[in-house]
Amino acid sequence: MKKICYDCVIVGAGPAGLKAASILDKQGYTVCILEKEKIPGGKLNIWHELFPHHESAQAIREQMLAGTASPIQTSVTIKSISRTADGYCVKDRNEDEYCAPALLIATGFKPFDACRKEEYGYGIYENVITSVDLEQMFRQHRVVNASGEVPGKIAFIHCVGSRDIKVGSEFCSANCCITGIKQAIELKKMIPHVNICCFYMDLRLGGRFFEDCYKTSQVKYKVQYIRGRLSETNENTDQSVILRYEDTLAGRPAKITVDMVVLLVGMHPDPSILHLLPEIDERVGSDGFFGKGKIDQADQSSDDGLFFAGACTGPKSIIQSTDEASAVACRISLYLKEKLYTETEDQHARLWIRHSG
Amino acid sequence: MTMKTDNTSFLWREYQKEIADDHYYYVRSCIRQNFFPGAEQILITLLTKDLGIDLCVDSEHTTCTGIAYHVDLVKLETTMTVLARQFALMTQAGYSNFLVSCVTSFGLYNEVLEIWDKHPEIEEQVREYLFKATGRTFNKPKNLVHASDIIYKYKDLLADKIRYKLVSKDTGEPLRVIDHIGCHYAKIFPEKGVGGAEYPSVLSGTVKAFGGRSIDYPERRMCCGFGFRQYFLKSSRGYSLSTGYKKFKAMEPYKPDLIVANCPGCNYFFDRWQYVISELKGETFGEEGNGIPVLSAEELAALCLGYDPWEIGLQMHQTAIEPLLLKMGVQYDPNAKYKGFSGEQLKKPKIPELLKAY
Repeated sequence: MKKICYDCVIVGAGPAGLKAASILDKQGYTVCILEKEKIPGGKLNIWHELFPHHESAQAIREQMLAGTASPIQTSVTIKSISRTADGYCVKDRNEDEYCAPALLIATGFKPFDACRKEEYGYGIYENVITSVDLEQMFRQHRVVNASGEVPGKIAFIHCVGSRDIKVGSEFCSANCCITGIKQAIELKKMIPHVNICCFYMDLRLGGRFFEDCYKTSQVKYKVQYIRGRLSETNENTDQSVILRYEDTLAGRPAKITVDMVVLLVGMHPDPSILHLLPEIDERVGSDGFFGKGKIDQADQSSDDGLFFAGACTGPKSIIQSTDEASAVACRISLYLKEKLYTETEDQHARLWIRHSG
Repeated sequence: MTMKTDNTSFLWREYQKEIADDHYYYVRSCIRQNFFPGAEQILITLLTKDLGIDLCVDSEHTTCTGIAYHVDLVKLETTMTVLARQFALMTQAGYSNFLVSCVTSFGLYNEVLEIWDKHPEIEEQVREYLFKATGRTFNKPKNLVHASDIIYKYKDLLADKIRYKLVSKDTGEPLRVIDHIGCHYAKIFPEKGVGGAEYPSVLSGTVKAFGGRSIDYPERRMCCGFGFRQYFLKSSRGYSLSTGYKKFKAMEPYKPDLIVANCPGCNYFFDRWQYVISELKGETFGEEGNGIPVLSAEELAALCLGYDPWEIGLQMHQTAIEPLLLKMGVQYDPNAKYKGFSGEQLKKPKIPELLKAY
């Protein structure tokens, strides 16, 4: 049981948490990062390559870890977060306390639990996997179906757990379309003869170079795109999967049999931290993510020392997460200056003098 | 193929709807009373005699108009007023739990109650129509259930009493059962069915309790082929038959011993289409020229409990159920199949050329 005081405590050692830490500690603030997993890096640990340039997730992770000198406490299970006169105190399962005037929540997202979309057969049919499972296969450099064979035909299903009123998530996760395209290209590089078709509602490719990626997938890698909504999957006796879908351009129902189905699961809010935060309700949007997504971001840069950054404030790419984390780190810096320092002026330059104690 | 769901947590898997314990007002199924009258009767016997449930069987109630409504022969307002009259009869009899035998009716009752819930002004209008026409008023049911829901609720109690398990007497292996849920049971309102819409457990749970094994197959959720507009409009009857054929072709590789359905329409079409397909295409889907026997949930429960197959009306099935009786080791008298209640020999149906009959 120990109590350590910092200038800022960051919950979550993913891209946003690491980026904010790197900026704050370069500005001379003492920062501590708390991570629930055994190793830092967040979702970079489960991804193989990153869109749109197929950069190595592992290399980006190493780069980000090298960028911060702040201590990272791993395998931390937070028991409580309390508001104190000086800021916040985060207590873990071992009764260790991490206190700071500023608390940054960078807990990221949770991939949609595909079992909730029962009709797609995840958890029922072995050859129905998610985009997260496929990344694990990429990391092991081995993509095979349940019987250990290299698949000849693979279907990607877009918008699983996104824009779907039936599972209670009506928002667009913004990154699944490009993830599917990136994974399709990776698959074609790994298994050149594989036949890939992507079933989409509409392709939302708003990021830089996303459209290039999409075009490359079609022109160079011959990935097929079918505008169609999957209604259900079934399994044949040989464990191949039948997809029943509506081709919405042709306006007719259709069926296709594939060796493997990849469900592009959406980004969902991670509610685990929610109940620990005091008086948080009014700072959570109707979609369950922190903040209300307004332009002034008043709810994300509070005057009470509680800040949010990364995918916990809505579905984001890594670039968007780190950009937001940089901006939030600047706000934290200003907040801490007001809280911790006195400004004095002389004829040459402004001076900031830290309060004692 | 059995589903690999043991370690999977599903949103709907454990979902149980509210099913009252006792005191039901019962509404029969129009088509089942004609096609499989024994099934209708044995449900009443099971509930009142075997389970001791208080059931009000009322000769005053009418059709729900479901089929006519779905083929656009009857206006929604008429349908709602007819349904309101059934509720008035329930109220008059002093009941508040409503038990529906037919899946089409079950879907329609739920649909109308939902409309009234969302649009109270429509309910008021219907109350006015009913009062003007009959002078009746009504309370809406507190609990609306389908017959298969009650069998499911008491499945373990019934399983304790069963004489024949759904197990092969020769191999000791569980029988392979296709469970087919009527489309209007949970596809319209998932929360109204046990286990939701995608993998309802109302029949598979009962099959498991009786010792059988539920089979997952590619066309599991597809319509049986009845599809009101498909069958009742003669011009589109081919859709009905081809849908049925697709279902049988999909289940055939899994070698099912039995089809169990909770909808009178599904029971009928699975049963009759096997004969029609055998005549049209020369194909049968069971072993050695047999069809796949088709039972309703209550026929299944009664058979397992040891009721005589001919007493519960299984001779009304066109696809012979004898292969199932032999597999389960059910004791029965083959000569009593076509005997009337007083023991006189009734006329026997013509034996088809291809589909094996006994």
